[in-house]
Amino acid sequence: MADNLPHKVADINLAEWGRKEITLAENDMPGLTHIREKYRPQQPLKNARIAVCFQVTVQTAVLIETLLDLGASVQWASSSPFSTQDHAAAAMAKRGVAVFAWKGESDEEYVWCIEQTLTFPNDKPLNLILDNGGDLTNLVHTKYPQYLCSLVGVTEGTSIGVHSLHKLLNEHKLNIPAINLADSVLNSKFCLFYGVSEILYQGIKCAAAVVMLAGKVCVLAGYGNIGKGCAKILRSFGVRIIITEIDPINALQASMEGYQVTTMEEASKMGNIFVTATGCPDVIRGEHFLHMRNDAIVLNMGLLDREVDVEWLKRNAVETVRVNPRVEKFKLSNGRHVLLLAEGRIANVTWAMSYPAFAMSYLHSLHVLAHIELWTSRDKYEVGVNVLTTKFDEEVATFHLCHMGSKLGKLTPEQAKYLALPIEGPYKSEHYRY
Amino acid sequence: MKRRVLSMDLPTTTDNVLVERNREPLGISLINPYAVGKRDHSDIVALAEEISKADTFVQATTCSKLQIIAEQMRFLQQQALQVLSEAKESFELNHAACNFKKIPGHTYHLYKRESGQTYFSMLSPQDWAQQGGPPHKYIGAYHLKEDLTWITEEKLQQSSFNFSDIAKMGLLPTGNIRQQQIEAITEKMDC
Repeated sequence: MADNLPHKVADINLAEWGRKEITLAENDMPGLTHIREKYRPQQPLKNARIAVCFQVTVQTAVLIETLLDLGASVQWASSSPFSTQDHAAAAMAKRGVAVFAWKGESDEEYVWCIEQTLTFPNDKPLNLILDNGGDLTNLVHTKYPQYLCSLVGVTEGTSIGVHSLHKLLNEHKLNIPAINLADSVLNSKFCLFYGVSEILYQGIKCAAAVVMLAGKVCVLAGYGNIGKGCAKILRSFGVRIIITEIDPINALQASMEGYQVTTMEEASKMGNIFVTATGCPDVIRGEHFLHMRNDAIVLNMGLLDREVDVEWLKRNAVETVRVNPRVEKFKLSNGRHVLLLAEGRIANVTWAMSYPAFAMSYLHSLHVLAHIELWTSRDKYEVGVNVLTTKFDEEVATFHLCHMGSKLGKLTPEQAKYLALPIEGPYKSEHYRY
Repeated sequence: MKRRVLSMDLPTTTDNVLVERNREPLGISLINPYAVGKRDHSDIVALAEEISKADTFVQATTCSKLQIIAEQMRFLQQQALQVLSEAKESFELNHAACNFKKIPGHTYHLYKRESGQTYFSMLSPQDWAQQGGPPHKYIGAYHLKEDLTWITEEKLQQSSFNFSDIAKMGLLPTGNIRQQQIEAITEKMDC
């Protein structure tokens, strides 16, 4: 692979537009800007060659520029081709970043793009992986094992990617230290809770812009971090919320918040809007669709593309009309219609364009700190799936607090002594649930 | 189509060679019309030859003039066929599967999957060199023109119309403002 392509993007002329939006995103990603200021003088990522497989958006462009700023070489491919922002890719290509991504890569092209990130100029192989979904890590382990010896580690930010890491580990195939960021406090309690739920409103309005939310009944399947965030947003619009759960603790949390909790069989007869956030397949099935009221809106805000049984709809619909590129209307045998968003795929990926930069900043900051940690203290991490200590979450949280003008108290030496805590933290044990 | 018979195709005879006789020209009865009309037989042959020669000339000139028209017709017909075939090709290319937004002025690569589906890709066979070649059969490179019709990359290279060459030849007016305009266009065309 001697003659590396400099980059492959859809249209380099979009660079100026991309740059404007990257600057906008950067201004609302305080975690990354603080990290740049704090660590730039030390250049902690010098000589690191990082292959990145992450959504190509303006928000991630800020992450890439942070890695570059700290001394790393970076090559970047998309982790979800249909959410690629061609203007973000163009702006990064223009400043000389090896980015291989365009909106609408085919499956073969998707793998081709990832393969381009593996070797750096002068035939040097990658030594760090920043992954989002597990495909890059998996590709190196299965097709390019020759690069494993030079690899220092991988950071992974999605539940599916972490699941794939555990699978590799259980099959004794995992060969590098991995850091699981999906289960970090900042990801679960902030990115998912605040970030994903803000996209929900846009999703519903995309399906039926004229539909008024106030007074409607929304059935939320799953009351985890995303479900809690969605419920909070919908409640503020005056929506009546019904929760379905299988976990008694989450169901109890929902009940104590004042939400009605019932089964999908019951709820499907009452709802106008159905939102899944479970990570579980076939949560809304044929029998539920048949119960729904006319023009019920169905969207998936969860972790799995199969949370809604779209196949049933396709097989049993009397008539299918595409209302707009993201909304399909299915007429059922009972004469009622169901509006399905984004073909039942995860909506927060479909609407990645509008994923709040501030919420993304939490996860991206953790990725950068995890890479500094892997690169500078590589002997500390063993082959396996590791988690970062609370110290990192606290550091990133502090950066974001400064940006919002919040002021943080400080333990007195006496208080610290009483609590048996270091004054600078970490303040909570690894098991604390927040 | 029934072929129209042209008079020049008819055999030439000597019957019509000489001007018709009038035995009472201007109302005056000729004394000896025979003597007045007396002529050498060889004169008639010479005249007939002249006529024949002239006929051949007319025939040749007419043929060559018609030839030009026929050639023009053939050319127009060819052009019409070419326009239709290009339209058909563009139509087919527009309907080839494609996941991305095609931008005029860019070149894309057409492949055919085992299923028979044709699709456009941003990647050329050279881009797949490291993988040992593209995963599907390569059909060709096509350039999307500003009018949203397609031209093969090969034809584009042949017909590349270079403003800078024309400017160098001095065929375009000069002068500062005009020169700047040309330079701007040239720059745009070259990139």
